Amino acid sequence: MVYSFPEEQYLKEKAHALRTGLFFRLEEFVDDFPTGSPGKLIDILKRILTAASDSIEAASDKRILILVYNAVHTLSEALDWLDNAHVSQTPRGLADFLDRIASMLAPSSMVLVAPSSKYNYSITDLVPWLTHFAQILVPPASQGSILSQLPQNLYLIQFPRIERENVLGHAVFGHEFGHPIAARFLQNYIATTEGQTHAHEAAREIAVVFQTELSALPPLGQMKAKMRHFQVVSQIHKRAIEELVSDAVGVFLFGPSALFALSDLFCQTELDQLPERGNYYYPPSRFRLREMHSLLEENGHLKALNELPGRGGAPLVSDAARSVLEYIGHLIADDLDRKNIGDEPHVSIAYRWVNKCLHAGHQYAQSEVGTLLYTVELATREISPLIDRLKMELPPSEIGIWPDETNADWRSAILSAWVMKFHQATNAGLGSSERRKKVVDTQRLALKGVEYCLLRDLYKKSLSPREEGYK
Amino acid sequence: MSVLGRKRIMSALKEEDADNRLFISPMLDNRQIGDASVDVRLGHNFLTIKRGNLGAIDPRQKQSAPDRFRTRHQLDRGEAFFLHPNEMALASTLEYVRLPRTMSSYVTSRSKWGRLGLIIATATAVHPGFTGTITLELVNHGNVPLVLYPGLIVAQLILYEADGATPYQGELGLQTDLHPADISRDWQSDIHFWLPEI
Repeated sequence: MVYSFPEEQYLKEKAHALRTGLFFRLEEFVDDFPTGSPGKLIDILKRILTAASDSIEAASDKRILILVYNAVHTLSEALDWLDNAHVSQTPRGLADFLDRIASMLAPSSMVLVAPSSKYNYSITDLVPWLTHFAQILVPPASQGSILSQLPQNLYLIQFPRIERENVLGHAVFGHEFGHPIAARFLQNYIATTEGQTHAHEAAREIAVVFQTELSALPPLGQMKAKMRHFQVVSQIHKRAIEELVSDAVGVFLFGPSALFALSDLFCQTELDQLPERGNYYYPPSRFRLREMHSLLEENGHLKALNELPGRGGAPLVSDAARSVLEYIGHLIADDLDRKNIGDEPHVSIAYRWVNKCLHAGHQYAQSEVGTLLYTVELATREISPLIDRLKMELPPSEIGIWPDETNADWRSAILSAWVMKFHQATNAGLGSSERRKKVVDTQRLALKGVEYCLLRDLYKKSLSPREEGYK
Repeated sequence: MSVLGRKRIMSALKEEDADNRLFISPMLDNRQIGDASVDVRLGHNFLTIKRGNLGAIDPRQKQSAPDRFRTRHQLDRGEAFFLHPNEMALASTLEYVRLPRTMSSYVTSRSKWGRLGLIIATATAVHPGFTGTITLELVNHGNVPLVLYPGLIVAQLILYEADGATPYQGELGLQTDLHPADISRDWQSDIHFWLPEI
């Protein structure tokens, strides 16, 4: 049908209107952010949108204009993250410690922390996303100057908004930082001879376990069926390794705090749910707790916590730590998850495959964590004195007495607060509102402690040699 | 009631008995301990009141949604906060302080800043047993805007021996950030006598 309406011109104007709409919304972000990363993201997005103007003008095909329009539309998702990344929604201490982890695990990376209305902890690298849209929206001649502004990684880290004050629960982020590490491990593992061997062994198991079904099929049907079964098994295996290696990273970064944070999270879920498509093949929660518990036992953290000394009226606090470990021990002693795994053929094949490579995954994770490893020696040295500080209603950030005080590790600040929280939350000698107040105070002191630990560390590193003598 | 000099301050910081120890943390630079005072720094957070739509602050009326009238600024290291002439802002000390029961304090501007017109506290007393960061009420009585940064040493604590005090139990203790108080929630039990219902 022929019509005189200048459709392409009209679409160009729509694309421009959407582009400038997003540009001006970005200009409206005037609130303070806890770190420089939101500002960096805003800057990059504005550059892309500015350059997109030329692309829109140069477009001569309606399909390109629709592509550009949809690309700008998708870019506007960033407004949601930025809306809540400002300081009244994102505590500075949280942004600081996440930044610290990111910069040590992935130097030249940046972190954008934003709460989400969804109850989910997640980490996503925005650099591939931004690169993709820069390549659609920016003329080729200008792409280099914009892409060179991108950091190596720009991690969008989201947490449930209603958990903003639950600083101790944020130890879950150790797991989130584990995902890129787990992904690299899987990529490397699959390419190795060992990885290929394990995959073939799984394929042979499939042929045996599903023999009855397969033998009833013609040869082509058998091949298709085997591939289908293998696909399911490898998806279950992949997801298990992703989650379990990520959990291991959490343990290496945060020690027992990672276990406590995850067990808190799991108390609201079913512990023995079988990995299946409906739940994205996640390992049973009980299985994950057991693996983390086993790692902590191996590296001595559980023994150290169980042997926390009481001091002068303090035995109740350390008793709470022992009691929680006993409770978790009781949880993981229940075997229902393993029974469920064993009863389902795809899952049991996949988990035998997991057992063959998980140890290598743990070793890889530990080597990637490197010097950020939270050692049992550090915990043994610091947890008790930091608990003493919390009892005095002081931030758990220093060990010792002035002028010989030393800076604590910020992970110890979190772990000592966990132990204190268990004691306060279960203290039958307090009324319920007093228990709640004490737990809230401990959370705030923990956050302050983390901020102070990171500040002192940075301050000390920045001192020039001639000023060293003063501290 | 004697002011604590340098030696006495240092000995209070080193006190073995934690209940009687003075805590000022983090003490990033020992030079903060002066002859008879301890310098303290500005923290990262500032709060200003928005004038629009706020008729008055009246102790008779509970403030509903007070955050509507407040703007919080949380600054990174190196970021400036501008305090204009006659403007008031709340801030807090970077340091977390715990006074033993036998000690009280008042907080005041350091002279250099005072001479530029900066008042750092309109309510200066810090009670025996107080624990927390200290909220500072910053007022610029000068004629030019003052530029403030987190970490700047603008205030000092003058410390006193206190006799017969009981530890501070008020709502302003155990703060880890600046704390704007709600005067309609004051403890004063005879308030209804002084502010009868219309």
